[in-house]
Amino acid sequence: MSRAKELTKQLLRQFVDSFDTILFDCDGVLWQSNDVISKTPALIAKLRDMGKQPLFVTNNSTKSRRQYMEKFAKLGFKVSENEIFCTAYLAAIYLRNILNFQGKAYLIGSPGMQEEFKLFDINYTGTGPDPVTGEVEDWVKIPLDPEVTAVVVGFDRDLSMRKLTKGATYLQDPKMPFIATNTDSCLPIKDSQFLIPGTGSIVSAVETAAGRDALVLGKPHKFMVDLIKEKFTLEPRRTVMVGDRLNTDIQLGKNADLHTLLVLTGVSKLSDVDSNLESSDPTDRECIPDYYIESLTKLTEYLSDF
Amino acid sequence: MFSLKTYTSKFANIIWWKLFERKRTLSARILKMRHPEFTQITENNVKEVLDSVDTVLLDCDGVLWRGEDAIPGSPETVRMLRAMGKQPVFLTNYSILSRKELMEKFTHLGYDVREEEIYSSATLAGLYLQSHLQTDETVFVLGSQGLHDEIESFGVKVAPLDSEDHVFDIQSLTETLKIDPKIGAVVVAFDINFNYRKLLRAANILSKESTHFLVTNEDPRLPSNDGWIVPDCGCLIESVIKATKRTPTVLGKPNKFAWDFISKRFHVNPERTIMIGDSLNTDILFGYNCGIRRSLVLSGISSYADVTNRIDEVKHHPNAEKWIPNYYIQSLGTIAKCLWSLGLYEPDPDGDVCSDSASDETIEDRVDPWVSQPGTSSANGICHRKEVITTV
Repeated sequence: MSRAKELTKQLLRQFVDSFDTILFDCDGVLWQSNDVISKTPALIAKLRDMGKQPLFVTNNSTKSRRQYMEKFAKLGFKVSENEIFCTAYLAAIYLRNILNFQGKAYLIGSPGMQEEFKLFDINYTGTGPDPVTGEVEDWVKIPLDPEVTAVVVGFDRDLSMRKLTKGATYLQDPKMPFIATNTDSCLPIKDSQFLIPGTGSIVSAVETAAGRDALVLGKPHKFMVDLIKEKFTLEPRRTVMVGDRLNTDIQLGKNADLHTLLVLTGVSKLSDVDSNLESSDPTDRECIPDYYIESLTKLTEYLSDF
Repeated sequence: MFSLKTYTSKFANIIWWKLFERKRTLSARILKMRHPEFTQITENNVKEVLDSVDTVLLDCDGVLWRGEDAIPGSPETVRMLRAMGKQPVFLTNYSILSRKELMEKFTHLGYDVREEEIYSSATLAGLYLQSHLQTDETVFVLGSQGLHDEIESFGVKVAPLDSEDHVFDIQSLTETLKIDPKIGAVVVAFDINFNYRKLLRAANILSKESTHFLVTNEDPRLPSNDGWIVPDCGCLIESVIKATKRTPTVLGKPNKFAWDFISKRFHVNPERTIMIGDSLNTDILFGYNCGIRRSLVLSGISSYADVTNRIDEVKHHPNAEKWIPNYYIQSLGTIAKCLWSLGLYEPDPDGDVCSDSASDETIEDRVDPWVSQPGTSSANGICHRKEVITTV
């Protein structure tokens, strides 16, 4: 199994010539929390000048594409909304285009997801605080909404036992679709002293209560790439995935046969790559990026001479 | 003619044969324990079974009561067991009530019980923390007030709830989150007030490897509430495990943590002990793990069909035997009823044994309330969504 190569100035030509399309994860790659990683807006502009197509693929389900546009703009990026593929959008597209959705979705998710659902005319219920009042015996007397025809789970800061109860009960119907935006275990944040449980924690709780697995739309599953192919020219062997997390970004690259570049400004470290190489799990052993680089700041600096 | 050589040889043969017989008897006993015949307790064998035990471990929900109602005949059976000189011990994964509160429930439902005979998973948490934490360490609890009180009754301080626990903005969460370094353990139990902020706090406390990660039980759901699925501890645990990648210590059944305390406290002989419960995944597996006999009652979670499915599985997955009980019975009250029919027990005329309401359902009629579709059987149970039989 080949080890990841450090993307140095010497390898730059080889790297640049290998792709036409470049997919960027966002958290931990272009920014950390609300702080841009230095020079990355200039990197995007430079890549466009070089004739490359940048696209933005994120598992973070808290924002709609419009909200991401605002964040990109605030941090100095020039990006079109159609270049953004976030899981709130994926969930709405999946329900509308794949499921031809009728009825109502029971949504454990954020305002960003609600916005995308509205854009696609998808009715939903269950969002916002649903705090516990009374005893369980009281909750179960209130009937469930008979119009609910799917359960969708994303990041929800208003998670509560009542939401878990409702979600799990709706899912007792084996025909009820169960969609999750992603299963990331934690969110990368700038101050690595803290651990922020990710959507994966929330999805695990619902899956356990329901006794069923969710259909996961986000990385590393290929739905995102399939969706991109409908809107952009994407030749897998002429595409590179740039990300900070091995088990989502790099794994997506492996699943969709893309080139991969790991940046070290987010979740995964080089020691994680070494652990994968030595893992007894064959999936882990294959989840090794083609290249790695300390940060995209460095890549921008390399490219400035191009 | 007698010779020393012959005598020595014969003596050696006798010793060898005795050792062989002992091994054979022990093997046969182990074999019977390992491949139990799934026998119904009836009037024909009830006396023999009861004569062979001194200690009776009893699960509570689905055996003694369902929700807030005593199961007919169960209080009578417990009284009768005591009258016969048996030691009942009550072992429940229920963590919501403290032992004091559980005593009130037992009394209210007509059970004659002593507080020291009750081992709930809340009690087990107290016992564990008492022996594993330093005197100045505290514990962060995701659980009920009853669990808090039970832990504190063991002299262990419970960390107060964060006053910001209702704040939900992610950015301010990281600014306001302060982890008390004195917290030495996290206990995850059924917590009706579980929310994201509590998950965040628990996950960050557990970032320190030396912090104990305890869970009361792994059941994914509470017993069915009229078709509603109410998540139990197992769901919250999966959340925390996903965020932290840590493996918890499970205090409740089927883990045999309770057995060490019970067997010492009551000087228990494992060969003369039986576990009676309604769940294959917790009670029967617990009995197997402790090396004791186990009986399933069909008045709760697991059904007759659940056991016959396991018996079929054993051909392909020998490990499935762990879930097969030695005995089964309609309900605990059936024991008193059988003895009454044999003239070996005079029931209380006001009790339920005399009434026809006790145990009217036939064995095959009970449906596992958790089974909603083929392939998601609770028979394998805890947190398994696919047909994972071989992982045990």
